[in-house]
Formats: sequence, structure tokens, C-alpha cells
Amino acid sequence: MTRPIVMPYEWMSKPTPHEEWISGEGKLIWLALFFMEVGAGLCFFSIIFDNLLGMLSGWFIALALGGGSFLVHMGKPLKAYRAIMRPQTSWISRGVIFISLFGVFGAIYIILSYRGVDLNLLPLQIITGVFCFLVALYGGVVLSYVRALPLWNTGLLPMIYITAGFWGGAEVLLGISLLMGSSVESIELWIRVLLPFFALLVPLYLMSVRYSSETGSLSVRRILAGDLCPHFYVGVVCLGLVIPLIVLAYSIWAGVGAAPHAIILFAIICGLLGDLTMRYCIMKASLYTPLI
Amino acid sequence: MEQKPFEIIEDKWVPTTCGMCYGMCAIRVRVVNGVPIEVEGNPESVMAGSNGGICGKAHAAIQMVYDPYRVNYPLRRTNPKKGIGEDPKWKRISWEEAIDEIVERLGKFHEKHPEEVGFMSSPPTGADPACLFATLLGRKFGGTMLMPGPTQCANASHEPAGMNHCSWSVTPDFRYANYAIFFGAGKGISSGHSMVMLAGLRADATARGLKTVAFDPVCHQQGGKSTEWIPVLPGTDLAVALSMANVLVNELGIYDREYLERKTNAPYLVKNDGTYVRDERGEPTLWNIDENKPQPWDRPNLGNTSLEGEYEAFGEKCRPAFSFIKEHLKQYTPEWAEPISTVPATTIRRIAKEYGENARIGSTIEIDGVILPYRPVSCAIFRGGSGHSNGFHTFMAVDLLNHLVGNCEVPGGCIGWVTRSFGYPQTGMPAFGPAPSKEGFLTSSSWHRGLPATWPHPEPKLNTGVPTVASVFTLSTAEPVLVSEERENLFSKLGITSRMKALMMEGANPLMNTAGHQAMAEFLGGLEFIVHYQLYCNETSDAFADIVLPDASTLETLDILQSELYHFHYPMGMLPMEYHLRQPVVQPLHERRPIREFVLDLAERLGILPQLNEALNSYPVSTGCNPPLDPEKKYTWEEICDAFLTSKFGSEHDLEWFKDHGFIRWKKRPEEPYWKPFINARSCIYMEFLIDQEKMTKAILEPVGIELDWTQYTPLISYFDAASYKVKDTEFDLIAFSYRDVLFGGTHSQGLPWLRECAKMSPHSEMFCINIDTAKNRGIQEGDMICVENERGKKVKGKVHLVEGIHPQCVASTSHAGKWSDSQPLGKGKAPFFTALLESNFDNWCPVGLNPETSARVKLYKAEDTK
Amino acid sequence: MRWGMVIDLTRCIGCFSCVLACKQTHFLPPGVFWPRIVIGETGKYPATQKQLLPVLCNHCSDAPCQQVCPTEATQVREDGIVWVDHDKCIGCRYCVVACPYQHRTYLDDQLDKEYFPGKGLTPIEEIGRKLYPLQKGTTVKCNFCIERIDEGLKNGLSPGVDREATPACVNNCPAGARVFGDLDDPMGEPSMLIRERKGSQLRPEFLTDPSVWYVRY
Ligand SMILES: Nc1nc2c(c(=O)[nH]1)N[C@H]1C(S)=C(S)[C@@H](COP(=O)(O)OP(=O)(O)OC[C@H]3O[C@@H](n4cnc5c(=O)[nH]c(N)nc54)[C@H](O)[C@@H]3O)O[C@H]1N2
Ligand SMILES: Nc1nc2c(c(=O)[nH]1)N[C@H]1C(S)=C(S)[C@@H](COP(=O)(O)OP(=O)(O)OC[C@H]3O[C@@H](n4cnc5c(=O)[nH]c(N)nc54)[C@H](O)[C@@H]3O)O[C@H]1N2
Ligand code: SF4
Ligand code: SF4
Ligand code: SF4
Ligand code: SF4
Ligand code: SF4
Ligand SMILES: [Mo]
Repeated sequence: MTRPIVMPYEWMSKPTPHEEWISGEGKLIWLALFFMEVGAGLCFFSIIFDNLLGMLSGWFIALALGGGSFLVHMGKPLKAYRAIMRPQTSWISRGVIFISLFGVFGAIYIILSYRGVDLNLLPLQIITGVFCFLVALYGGVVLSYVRALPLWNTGLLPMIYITAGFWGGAEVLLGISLLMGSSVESIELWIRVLLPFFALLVPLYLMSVRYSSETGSLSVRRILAGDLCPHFYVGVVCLGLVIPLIVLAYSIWAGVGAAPHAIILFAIICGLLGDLTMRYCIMKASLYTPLI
Repeated sequence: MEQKPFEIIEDKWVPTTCGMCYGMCAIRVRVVNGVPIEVEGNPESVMAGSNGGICGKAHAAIQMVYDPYRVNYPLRRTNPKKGIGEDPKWKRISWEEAIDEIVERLGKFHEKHPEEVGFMSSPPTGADPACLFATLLGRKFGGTMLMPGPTQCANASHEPAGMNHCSWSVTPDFRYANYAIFFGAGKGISSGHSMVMLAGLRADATARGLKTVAFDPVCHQQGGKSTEWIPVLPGTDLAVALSMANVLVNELGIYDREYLERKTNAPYLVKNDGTYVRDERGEPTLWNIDENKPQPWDRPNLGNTSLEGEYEAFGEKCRPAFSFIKEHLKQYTPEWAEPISTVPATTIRRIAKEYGENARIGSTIEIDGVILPYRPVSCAIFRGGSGHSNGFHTFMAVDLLNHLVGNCEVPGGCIGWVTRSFGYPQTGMPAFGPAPSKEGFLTSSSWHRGLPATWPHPEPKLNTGVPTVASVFTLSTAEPVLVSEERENLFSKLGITSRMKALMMEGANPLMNTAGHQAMAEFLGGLEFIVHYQLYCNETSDAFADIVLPDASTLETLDILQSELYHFHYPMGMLPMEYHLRQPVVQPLHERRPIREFVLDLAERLGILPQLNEALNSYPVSTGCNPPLDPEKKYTWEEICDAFLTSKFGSEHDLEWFKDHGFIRWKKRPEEPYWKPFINARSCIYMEFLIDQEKMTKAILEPVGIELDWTQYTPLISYFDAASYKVKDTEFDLIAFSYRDVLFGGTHSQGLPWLRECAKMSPHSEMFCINIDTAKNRGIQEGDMICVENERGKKVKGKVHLVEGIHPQCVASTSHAGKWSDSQPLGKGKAPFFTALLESNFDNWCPVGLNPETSARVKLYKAEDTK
Repeated sequence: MRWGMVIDLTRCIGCFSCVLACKQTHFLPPGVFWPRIVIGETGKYPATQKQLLPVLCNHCSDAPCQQVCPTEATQVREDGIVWVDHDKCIGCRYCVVACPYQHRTYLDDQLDKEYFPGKGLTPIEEIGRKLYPLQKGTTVKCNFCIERIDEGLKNGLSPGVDREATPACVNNCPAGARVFGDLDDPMGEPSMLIRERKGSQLRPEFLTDPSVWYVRY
């Protein structure tokens, strides 16, 4: 389709695509949410599996790449501190608080575990873990809170986002572990849960939006049969779901860790790309309901 | 962020008038530190919309002041080659140089052949049509008047509206109206005179229940905003109006007998050859039922006159004109009109019935103690409906619907622009008004081109010494032959040896706005010398002008003449009367000079200043200047304005007073807007004059072998196909037409950034429109690039917008769009250049008023380079 | 006290005066519109209804833009006006995304743009930057001409009645299609219009409770 979804003169007289957070520098938000959530997911599992490198990478991905994208996108980054002013209603305020605290606790945790201090880190692990969870959660909530966009305005969206975040985090950790040569079995077990769950959530989500409203259904149509269907079928379905699922099935069949590393790494990259594409589709396909 | 302190030295509102279209609305402009920053309607004046509202265009006037693409200095063409696409290679020259050259080159003509110099001006602008420049300077120079843009203006509406309403155009009297029908007129919505004033009146009326019906091929502005949209094929309004008249007269028997008897020529006795039965003096007669004998129309006590029946008068068998009309209308049944217009017969009947019933024939209303007939229904038509080769009859047919219910110039009915004024009470000025004339018809006290009257029409005469046939086609307000492909053929056959050699243009963009624009290009290309007084270099100047002079725009100009010309620019109906000053809110920037001052200088240099002063003294006709200007003296334009103002409104209301107050107001009496009952004169519904007109025109044209469709010279308002329906090639299956965009006035505003930005929200502004079904059949999609081609193979490309709200047999775009000049790059190439589809020749002219056909039979297909 | 506007679609002629009046009075840069006209149609030929719908920020009393704003830059005043304090705005654009009517614009490079590209700023634009400074990197929208209302009230004028205290788009509407006043005043013109002509809000299903109402045929 060469024709844009709406012509300038059709603005809000036809279902009108959301642009702000996905066109031009708006793409930074798409990336920010991806990095933050995958980073947080990575930290989460790194804490569980006590992987310092993973922790450090997760922290870096979430804060520097995620938070950084967010800051770069901001019109007045020097005033970013103001963003914590309205946690009562604003999920960005909450998110900024979450990510700040995640950053602080994460840093403390990293420093302490690097120093190898002789302390019980469990409380800190729990606190940091909780913030990882909140950071991975809030991005989806930020979107789902937008009543104006039926594609976002559903409880399933945060579920998808957090699942994707954790799955992505787990995959990155899996990759790191593979490269470091440490054991991967228990991580893979997580993936065995998260990936099928994600694979189940995606159609569930799309179907529920499809029947929610006319505009929602148009958004879903864009993903399944419209301008975004190449992204969806190649990126999400093929790269993000089919390939990882095949590899997963193989490793279930052949036993944990049986697949060659290269193939697993390949599947991990595919999975991450699939996640990114899924997020892109969700950002891009969202439509506002026309005013006429 | 710290803001540098900004000191406001001056912050004032200046009252003046808008010139972004010819509405001349009252505005005020906020000027801060010498910079005009805001335009709004003048809330104190009624010559704006509701509570001082204005339209979108008006705001952009301040952008026009600072538009970097304006002409700021006199320019001379240095590329001797002329033509579309030639770079003129403008070179800045001084005013002295420019005037010297103009005086030298015009002086040559002035001595021997002044008629070889054309004077042209431009209606849709603040430049003030044909006023000081053409009508006064041009006439005193002895030049030939020329209005090529409006060869397809509402040409076909002006002459008959003048004849029947003493006005250039007609509109519903919204204040008292309950039901109004539009046959292709944007009144109070998008276009036409006093657009914004009418918008306010119309909105109030709509809010209290006015029903509006728009016969219009497109459902956008008038169609979209009326209570009911009835799609009609362009150029077929004539069929609809005639069949409605038939329903009223022959099916419902609804007509205003008394009005027809007293206020029209319906009772005039007509012989079987179509001419009147005249008395010894040659005046028409009518039949007195009480005395059972014929009597002249002007006998003091007319008694009961007959509208029907057969009589014998002065030895001739005869019938009242109305009985001919009544019988003649019988053929025009709604069933007959349906296939022509595509309006269902049931709809025509219903609308006719609603119209007739709402007319409340016989009812009266008391306004300010005066009892007047009350007819809250009306039919209005203007450029859209009448811009066809059957335009004369179309206007007359629609107007017949008015006369049948007796609604002309009475409350709620169909009224013209301010035609009668008793003047400002203290001075009795300006006073003007309609009066009875020959054959009992109305005539106005002033008319366009400085003509004194709307009736009788000048007799067709051939004058071989001037380069125009305007004297032959006297029912045309703008003779198109001169600039058309027919010129050489017709001129040589008629033995007209004179040719136009030079042209003085004020505003205007004839190359873009004239049907047959290639012939226009040839005409312009054949001239020796063209001076274009302009705000912008446009397509016409770039291709053909030798000298371009920089005018001051409305907001930089002092003027009173916009309050004088044909009395448009006064408040309508029972709104109080106002006379406005236009004044500069900012002094002309750069070397721009208001054309008024230039005209005085030029007149002086050409030695015609005394004549010009004298002409001003009696301009327009009855209201001029008193004490008169001294013909020998050179006045400044300020002095002339001051003299005009004090002569009209007393010495205390001088220019300074007007600069402070903007305008003067006084109350009208009901007899002014609703004058018809008080003037013993009639409108024409039986066009007997066409019989003589035909004879005289034929006598000139037939001997040289020029055939017109003489059948249109019939006294009985009749149906004729518009030219677009004479094309038989079925491949050309669509009718293309244009309509005005509320966002733009003429071509020049097309380059103003604010308006362009708004146009992006409006698909109508930049694209062709066709019906979704029409598109489907051709595999065309929204936004596709299409090509529209007329039967001569002229092609216009543009993007297409698909809508439900357009007649499926039509393709439309806005008029005045599609600029191509680099001189106004922001307006360049933004929309289809519709006018290229129109042809200007005898096949496409209304044989009566020479109104060019403004729709075209076309085919439409996807252009190769889609998107 | 709740300021509100009623737009009478039977009166409106779609002339864009409201759009440009706002642009001029707020010196909005190229590409930025606070009010707009949404053009469309409903119904099949020949029963087509043209829609020329003037829209502006609805000053929702349940305003998503305010709820999502993390900085308190977007505020809902006691009198119902939803406005942006540009000194507080960080330009995150969450409000832009969240407004179901899409009435918010993030000011990016628009302020660097000239109305006549490449030709420098016109004196109007230059003076505008001083009289009505807007900040790059913040989000803007219709503010119900808050500056006129506040200034007018200070001078004892009543918005909606006195011109100086009334929004520019209302003053400039040639058809009297826009009426401004206190929605809480049952005898005020807006309330009466809404009552008598069965006014409605745009897309009530968005559950934002707009202060802008429409009356139709
Ligand atoms: N297809 C199609 N063609 C049409 C029509 C249509 O409906 N459809 N309509 C026809 C009609 S009704 C008309 S009247 C003609 C109009 O035809 P034109 O008279 O040619 O009208 P404009 O294009 O407005 O040209 C006006 C010119 O005057 C200049 N101008 C504006 N204001 C001033 C001023 O204050 N001083 C000076 N010196 N110049 C000024 C502008 O720069 C512009 O170049 O077009 C006709 N052409
Ligand atoms: N905004 C704006 N206002 C203007 C001008 C301008 O350029 N812009 N120009 C001024 C000038 S010079 C003039 S002459 C007047 C003209 O004023 P109008 O005559 O009102 O102008 P148009 O828009 O050309 O035509 C009016 C309507 O007729 C419809 N129409 C077209 N063809 C037909 C037809 O065959 N039958 C019927 N029933 N309807 C038809 C069109 O769709 C349109 O809705 O406007 C003046 N006012
Ligand atoms: S209708 Fe014409 S004169 Fe009146 S405000 Fe609009 S542009 Fe100006
Ligand atoms: S100014 Fe009034 S009439 Fe014009 S578009 Fe706006 S609301 Fe409608
Ligand atoms: S319309 Fe949009 S910007 Fe205006 S108050 Fe409502 S949500 Fe906020
Ligand atoms: S862009 Fe400004 S006003 Fe909008 S949500 Fe962010 S901080 Fe608030
Ligand atoms: S109320 Fe004021 S700020 Fe809002 S659209 Fe109207 S003019 Fe613009
Ligand atoms: Mo015209």
C-alpha cells in the first residue's frame, strides 16, 4: 500500500494513526520501552541466577539505553526531574520513580556483589527484583492507560509487554550464559514457560482488541492484513515465534542444552527481534477514533 | 527562559475595510509598534458577520502586507520574448522611468487612437472593479473597457438582475426569510457579494428555522450547509426552474396575481407575433377588465387588469403576456425535467409546493409602521447556476419563480443589493434609487462601466472604429469576443479594422481566469505594450507584461470608492445604512504606491486631469462631489476623499473624522430596501425586447454569415441545452464544473501561507472531486493522479478526492486554483488548473448575453504517473 | 464556574476564520493549529450530509491529558480551563498521545520555521515571538484564550459577553456559531443553547466530559 493510512485532510475524520511515539524521534519511546523492559527482565533473572555480568548488562540496558532514549526524546531533558511530580495519576511519574529506584538499588546491588561483601543480600535482592518487575511492567501500563487508543487500552497489553520483557531478559541471560560457558538449564526452563505464554498471549490480545471496537478492529486489521502484516508475519510470527519455538521444541525433545550454541544464539536474536517488531506493530498500528 | 523586555510603544485598533474578496467587510486591524498583527471584524459595524466576525481569508491580509513575493518596485521586462513559460527577466526601475515610459507610449495612442488602449480591472479583489482606473481614467482617456476575467463572471446574472432588481446580484432577505432556494450561488456560505454579512444574517435565520434548499452538483459549501441538498447536473437549472414554475402556475395555481399585474409585464397585451400591443405613443398596453378595454401601462388608476384571456385591442388579436407564459410552461413538466436535470419529478413537485405554500401570498408585515407585502421565500442564482451558454434564460427562469410569488424587494423575499437610498438624514446624500422608464420597466440610477441605467438596453450597433463588439452585444456585461479565438474571424467579417494595441491592467489574472486561455494568451501576445498594476507578478504579468507597477494592498490604501461602486457595499435589508472609509493601517512599504495616486499623476501627465476631476464630480452618477472639484486643480487623493466625504456627510464628517470612526451610520426606512411597492415600475418576465434585439443583432451578423442560436432570442423564457450537453461523443461522459473555495479569493490569495495551511485540511481546495461510484468504475482510488480531458484534447491533471457528495456524472474542482508562476511559489501547482478545460467561442457562448459556458464535457482517466 | 463553548453546526459555514483568528492571536508557527476544521461526510449519495466540524481542545473535566502528565505542567483550573504551564512541561508527549481528540501539539522545530520559507521572519512573526513567546520542546494546545479571560476578569469584564474577554475564535466567527460562557450558569447562553437545542459533547464515549458542546440540526 503506497497510500498513507490517512491523508492530511482526513485527520480525525478517518481513523487516524498514532504518530507521536513511533514516527521520527518518537521511535525512541518504542526503543526505550523495549530496552527498559528487557533490561529489567535481564536484571530480574540475573538476580535469581546470580549473574553479575547479566545484572550489569541489564542495568545498563535499562538505564542507559532505555532511560537514555527516554531522555533524548524529551523536549526538556534538563527538567526531567520534574517527571516525578504526579505519581497519583501519571504512569510516567510512577515509571520514573520505579526506574530511578531500580537504578539506585540495582547499582547498590551490583557494587555490593562485585565487592563480594559479607552481607545477606537477600532483602536487597528482593527489593531490586521487585523494582525490576515494576520497571518491566510499567511500560505496558503507560500504553494501556491511554483510553484513546483501543489497541493499547486493554489489560492484556501490559501482560504482553511484561511477558516479552521477561522472556527477552531471560533470553539475553541465556545468551550471556552460553557465551560465558556457564550452565543454562534452569534459564531455559523459564523460557519454556515464558515463550509459549507469549505465543498464546499475542493472538488472545489481538482477538480481544478486534472485538472491542471498530477502531480497535481496524488496528488489528492493519497488523494482520494491512500495511503492517509483513512486519507481523515475518518479524513477529516467523522470527519471534516460530523459530524460537522450533528451537525450544528441539531442546525439549533433545534435552536441555542439546542444541548447538550457534542455533540457540540465533534463536535468541530472532526472539529479540520478534519482540521488538511486536512492539513496533503495537505502537504503529494504534489508531484514534475519528470525530465524525 | 528569560525574555528580553519588549516595549509596546503603540497598540491600537484601526477601522477599515477588507479587500480579500469583493465583500468589502468592515474590519479593524490591531497595530502594535507599527506592525499590523491582527484582523477582526469591526464589531461596531453591521457590515461584518455576527458580532464582528469575518471569514478566514480576511486574516491573511496582514500576511499579504509582508509577503516577500509582493511587487515592491516598478519592474521592466528585459526579455523581449513573451509567452507562457518565458522568464520575463524583471529589472527594477524607478517610478520616474516607469511613468515616463508609460506616458510616452500611451501618449502616442491618446493623440490618435485612444480606443486601441484597453483598460482592464479585476472584480474579486480589493482593487475595486472598473472603478477609478477603468471607468474614470479609461473612459476619459478614450480607451476600451475590458473585463476578460469576468467574461465568465456572473455575466449572465448581471444584466437580467439589473433589469429586474436594479442590482448586480440578488439574495434572499435572510432577516425575514423562511424558505430560500439556491440555484448555484454561494450566498452567505462561501462566495458572492457581502458573503460574511449574509453569513451572519443567514445563521440567525437558520437558527430560527429558515429552510434552505441548494440545487448544486456538489455537496460541499452551499450544498453541504443548506437544509436540503438536491444534486443537479450543471447547466440544467433551467429545466428545474421552468418545471417548478409550471407546477406553481398550472398544477397548484399558486401565483401572486396582484403583484404580477402591477409589478411585472405579465398583463401586457401581446400579439401572436410576440410583440406588445402598443398605444399611439408606442407604450405597451394592458387590458382593463372593469372597463373592458385596453389601456396604457402608465395610466394613473389601472383598475383590474387581466392576466389571461383573448382580446382585441387596437385592431389586433392579443392576449396578456401571462397567458402565453402559462401555456408555454405546460410543456415543462417535472417528468420532462427529470431526465435532463436528474432531479426526481417528485422532488421538483415537492419543492415547488413547499416554496409556493411558504410564500404566504397575500400576507403583509408591518415594519417600522409601514405595512409591506410579506413573502418569506426566494430563489437566488449567481455565477454557479448562470455561468452557462443558456445563462440568460436560466437567470430569467429562476427569477420568474420569484416574480410568480411576488417576493421581489419585499420583506423575506428576493432582494437586490442596496438600490435605493434616501441618504444620510442631515444631508440627503447619497441618494439614489430605481425609477420607472420606457415601457414601464424599472431602471436604476447607476450601472456598471459608468452606464447610467439598467434599462433600456442600448441598441446593438456596429462600430468598426473600436476593437470590440461590445456595442453589438449590449446584453453582455463583459464582451468575450475580443480575447477569444473568434476575434479575427468576426472582426474581419464585420470590417472592424481597429485592433487593441496596448493594455493597462489593474489587478486581474486573465491568463488563468478566462475560458479559452490559449486565445487569451494569443491576444496578450499580440499587444505592443502592457502595463500591469499589481500586488504580485502573476502568470499574466510574467508571460506578457512590459511594466509591472507595485500597488499598495488594501491595508496600505486610503479609499472611499469601495463605498460607491454599484452600491454593493452597503448593509442589506433593514440593517442600518453605513458608509465606510478604507484607510492604511500601515504606510505602503518599499516603493509601493496606491493606484489612486498614480491615476491622478498619469491623468495629469496625459493632460486629462480636468476631465477626470469632472468625472469624479458626478461619480457615481447622482451622488458625486459638491462643491465640485475644480477641474483645473491637481488634488491629492486625500483631498479628493475629504471632498467626497464632506460633500456627502457635512463638514464635520471630514476625512479625519472618518479615520477615527471608520464609518458613518444612519437608520433606513422600510421604503428603502423594500422599495418595490413604492415604485410604479415593473420587472420583466416576458422578454419582448429580445425580438428587437434579435432583429438588430441579426442585421449586423447575418449579412456577414455569422449564425447564432437565434432561438434563444425568444420572449418566452424557455429551455435550451447548455453547450456541454451538445457534445455527442459518448466517450466524454462527465461534466466538469468549478466552484469557489471559501478559503481563497481569486488567484492571488493562493500563495498566502495561512490559507495554504488551511487548504491542507480541505481536500476540496487542492483536488478534483468525483463520486466514489464514478471512481470505482474506473479503478480510481483516493489521491490518485487523474487526467481530465475536454473534447478538444485539452488536459488537466490533478489529484482526486472521492466523495459521496457529488453528482456521479460530474468532476469538479475549485476555481482560480492551479497557479504555475514562480513569482508566487507558495501557490504554485497546488491544485488543478480547471479553467484550461473551458472554451470560449460561439458554440460555448450564451447567444443572448455572450456568457461563456463554464462547465465542460470531459473524459476522465488515471494519469500514467500515478502518485 | 466552568468555562465552556457551544458550537452551533447549523450556523457554522466552515470558513476557517476561527482557525486563523487563533493562529494570529497566539502567533502560532507554521503547522501548528489549535482549532481545526475536520471535513468529511456521512450518508450515501444523494442523501449525503457534509460534515464541516470545527474542533478545539474540549477542556475536558475528566482530562486524560492532565491525568497522564507526569509534571503537573498540564493543569485543570477551578474554572475548568485545561492549560499547560510551559515552564513545567518537559516535552514527554504523554499528553499528546493520551488526548482522544488529538488536540495537542508538541513544539519541535516549528518555531524555527518561517511562514515564507527561506525569506526570514516577517515583522508579524518577529513581534509575535515577543508578545506571545512559545517554548520549543514543550507541548501546546488551545488554552481557551486564558490570557483574555484572566485579563478581562481582572478588568471587570465578563468572558463571552465582553469582546476583550472572549476567545478570539468566538469573536471572529462570522456566523455566530461559537458561544462562550459559564456552563454552570443555567441561565447563561451556553447552558440555554445546550438545553433548548439538545446539545451534545463530541464522542461522549471517551468519558472525558468536554466543556465544548455542539448543537446540530
Ligand atoms: N474556472 C473558472 N474560472 C473563472 C471563474 C470560475 O468560477 N471558474 N470565475 C470567473 C470570475 S466570476 C471572475 S470575476 C474572474 C476573476 O478573474 P481575475 O479578475 O483575473 O481575478 P484574480 O485571479 O483574483 O486576479 C486578481 C489579481 O489582482 C491582484 N490584486 C489583488 N488585489 C489588488 C489590489 O489591491 N491592487 C492591485 N493593483 N491588484 C490587486 C492580484 O494579485 C491578482 O493577480 O475569474 C473568472 N474565472
Ligand atoms: N471565497 C470567495 N468568494 C468570492 C470570490 C472568490 O474568488 N472567493 N469571487 C467573487 C466573485 S468574482 C464572484 S463572481 C462571486 C461568485 O459567487 P458564486 O456564484 O456564489 O460562486 P461559485 O462558487 O462559483 O458558484 C456557486 C455555487 O454554484 C455551484 N454550481 C456550479 N455550477 C452549477 C450549476 O450549473 N448549477 C447549479 N445549481 N450550481 C452550480 C457551485 O458548486 C457553487 O456551490 O463570488 C465572489 N466571492
Ligand atoms: S467575505 Fe471577503 S471582504 Fe468579507 S471578510 Fe471575507 S474576504 Fe474579507
Ligand atoms: S469561524 Fe465560525 S463559521 Fe467559520 S468555521 Fe469557525 S465556527 Fe464555523
Ligand atoms: S481535548 Fe484533549 S487536550 Fe483538551 S482537555 Fe481533553 S484530553 Fe486534554
Ligand atoms: S508533554 Fe508536557 S504537558 Fe504533556 S504530559 Fe509531558 S510534561 Fe505534561
Ligand atoms: S479558545 Fe482561544 S485558544 Fe482556544 S481555539 Fe479559540 S482562539 Fe484558540
Ligand atoms: Mo466574478
